[in-house]
Amino acid sequence: MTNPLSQRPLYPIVAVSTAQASALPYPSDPTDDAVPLTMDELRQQNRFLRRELQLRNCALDAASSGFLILDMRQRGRPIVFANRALAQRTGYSVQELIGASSKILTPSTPNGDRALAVRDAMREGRELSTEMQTARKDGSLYWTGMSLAPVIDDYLQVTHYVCMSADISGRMEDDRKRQILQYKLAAETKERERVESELRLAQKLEAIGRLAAGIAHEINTPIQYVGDSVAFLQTARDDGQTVLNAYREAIVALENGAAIEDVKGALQETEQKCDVDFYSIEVPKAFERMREGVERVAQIVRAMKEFSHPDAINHEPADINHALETTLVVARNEYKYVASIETQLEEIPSVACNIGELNQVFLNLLVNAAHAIEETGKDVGEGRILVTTQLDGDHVRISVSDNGCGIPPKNLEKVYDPFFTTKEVGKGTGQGLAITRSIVVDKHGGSVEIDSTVGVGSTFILRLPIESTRTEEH
Amino acid sequence: MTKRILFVDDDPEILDGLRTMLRRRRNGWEMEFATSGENAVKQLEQSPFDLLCSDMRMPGMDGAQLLTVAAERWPGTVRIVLSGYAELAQTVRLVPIAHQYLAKPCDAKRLETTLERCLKVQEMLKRPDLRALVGRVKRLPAQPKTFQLLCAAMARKDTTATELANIVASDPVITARILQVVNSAFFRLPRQIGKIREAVSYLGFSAIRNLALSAEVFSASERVPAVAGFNLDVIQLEALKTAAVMRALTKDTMLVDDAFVVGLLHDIGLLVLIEVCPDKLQAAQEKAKQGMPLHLAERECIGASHAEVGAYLLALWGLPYSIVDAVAHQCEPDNVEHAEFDLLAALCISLKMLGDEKQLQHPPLFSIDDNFLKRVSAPFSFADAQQCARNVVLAGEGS
Repeated sequence: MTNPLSQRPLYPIVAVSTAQASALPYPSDPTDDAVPLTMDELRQQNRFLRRELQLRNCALDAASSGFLILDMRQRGRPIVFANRALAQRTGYSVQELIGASSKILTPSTPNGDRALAVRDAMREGRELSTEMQTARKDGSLYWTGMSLAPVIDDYLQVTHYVCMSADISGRMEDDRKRQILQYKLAAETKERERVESELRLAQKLEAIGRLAAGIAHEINTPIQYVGDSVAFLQTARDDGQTVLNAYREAIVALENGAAIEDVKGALQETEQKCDVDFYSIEVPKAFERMREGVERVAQIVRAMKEFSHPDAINHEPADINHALETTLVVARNEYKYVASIETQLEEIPSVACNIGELNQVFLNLLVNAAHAIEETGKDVGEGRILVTTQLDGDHVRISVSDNGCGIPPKNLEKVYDPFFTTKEVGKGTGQGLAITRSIVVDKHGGSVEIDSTVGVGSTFILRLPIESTRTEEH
Repeated sequence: MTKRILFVDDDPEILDGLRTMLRRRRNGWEMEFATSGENAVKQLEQSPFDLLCSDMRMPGMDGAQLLTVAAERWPGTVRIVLSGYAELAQTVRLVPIAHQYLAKPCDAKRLETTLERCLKVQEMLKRPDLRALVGRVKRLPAQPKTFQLLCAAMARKDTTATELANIVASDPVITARILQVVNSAFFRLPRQIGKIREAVSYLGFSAIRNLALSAEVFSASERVPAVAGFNLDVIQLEALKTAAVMRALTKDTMLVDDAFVVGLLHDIGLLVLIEVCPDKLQAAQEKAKQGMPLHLAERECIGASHAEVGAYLLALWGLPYSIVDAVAHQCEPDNVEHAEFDLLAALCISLKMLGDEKQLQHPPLFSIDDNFLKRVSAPFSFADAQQCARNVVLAGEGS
């Protein structure tokens, strides 16, 4: 092991002029002593100082922290002292550092605010602890944690700055990694939320798309018979006009003295030709049919409007029974060919909820029930869907039961998985129950329960708190 | 003669609407009504009907099942679908079991016209002279094989484009002909199509099925000896031009696929007559030269016009009645009611335009003007139609 004392050169710091050296706060400052020293004494003191200085240099060189002194009085604030640790870390030799400007340690890309803070602190003679990037001789950068302290002389002038520094690149790297991870996590959470909300929307669109075809059919039917009835009434009116004309002619004929029997016969013939008896039975029925058809269209359109409820963000009190009835109208085409519907809707209080979302849930359950019955190939007379509501403490209990194929136990735990479906392609995307649970449980603080037996049927039970327990989303 | 018609719908209001609306036809039509497929079968069993008009979606036996049963047990009954489901795919798949497809809501005039015209086709199918004429056909297939296979494949729900392509590809002659037609200047595709599989994806299932049919027809007629004035090549070229004009006129409508095949096959009756009675056809041709309309000359010399013979053959092959009807009435469109822009209207307009452009050996003799176009609510003007024909002629000359 080499002796650091023997290697270190004498630094200019000790070779300064007496006036300058006097500024150094050495304990045995010669100017403190008024008595002139003898030559021997001077030599002795010099030796003493030299040894002490070497000890300090040696100690500083032994330290693992970087140590640097800048002379604030000279132009360019040159480095007047640098320890070995700093030299090793920066790749310069100690000799190269001494006398150089501290700028050789600052990276070409400025540290910005931090560099400004350092400059301000030095100008004002303050202490400062900071972290900044430092340049090595080869131009590479590393992070330094440093504390700067001024050296102040008797006249309160800042003569030097001492800088203790440590390489904190490792820590900074860890911090940076942690930050990236945190950022990534936040981004991924956000992305997941976005995908979830998109899925909800997609499922809603899928449901509405499927409904649209059914609703078109539901509307086309009344439009067809209303149209036919209008055509019929037009014919009826034309024939009615013919009969009316015949009667007018008959009056004229009678006035002109025609035989009443002849006139009567002619009128009877006209009436028969014009189908008067048929009209007197059918015309009122046609009007009734048109009125009923228009009402049917209006009801469907009304229900559709309510069903697709403008997407309220806030939870508002809503009538669950009414919502169920609306959904039953809208989804009629989904189940009417496979099952009859029975409802047992008890009196229940309004529930604070997003009714648009719950409509989607009800639709999902109804469509599932219809599909489950269709799967069994049951005749429409046997298929049965039961919808019930009842008050259950501070919850409302909604159930949808079917006598369809049922869910095998092995699938029961999977039904809530997104994209899990046993339906043939095109009949469902496997989102229905995942969304149902998300809406009922996550967004309304309720619960979903399935009671299913293969070959017997399934019952889906929802429980919704009457008071909203939903935590506000940010 | 009174026609017996059975309407089937699970909605009694629909039946009441039809019953009262069609009451004015009571002198010509004897109508019965059934509220389910099962009841309809019972009524069919009691006494036969000329026409069956059914809803598709019904609880229990649905329309498709009912029509399938009817096709097997009462093949002489015309089968029409009147449904609220307008999905195109379903329309295509229905073709084998239904003669005609009507979407609800269907206005009174359209419904009446369609039923009327279907009954006319059926009437024509009963003509023994036509049966005798067409029965003598040897070269033209009694049942076009590839076409039948394609129809059967398309009737299945899960048929893929590759399966259809494989069916076509199994007959190299038909494959070559389809590609030839598809890539001809008349079709005006933006790029060349080299494989049947590509053609299937590009043009759709129905178009390929229809193209396969016309390919079969023309490849079967290849060796028919020419009759004076009836050169097979000329007939084929006229067919291609007509098809191209029809396709252009019906683009963006549901008719486009069927329109193309009507164009290609509208003169198929001539192929039959060339084969079965070339001498009589030549005699008719002589009369036509002296100014008698060809179809009337044919009726005088042969007993039936090429239009009727062609329609009869297409009906035998199971093509939709809208196609059969268009081919049957192409020479005398004024003999039937027009309720809308349909295949017959499109064919007559195309033939007239090509005739005016001097592209046809026997230009049509009926007149078509802006009024006719308005009457059938054609989605274009007279000038547009003229331009269409000119474009096709130009494209043909360019190739």
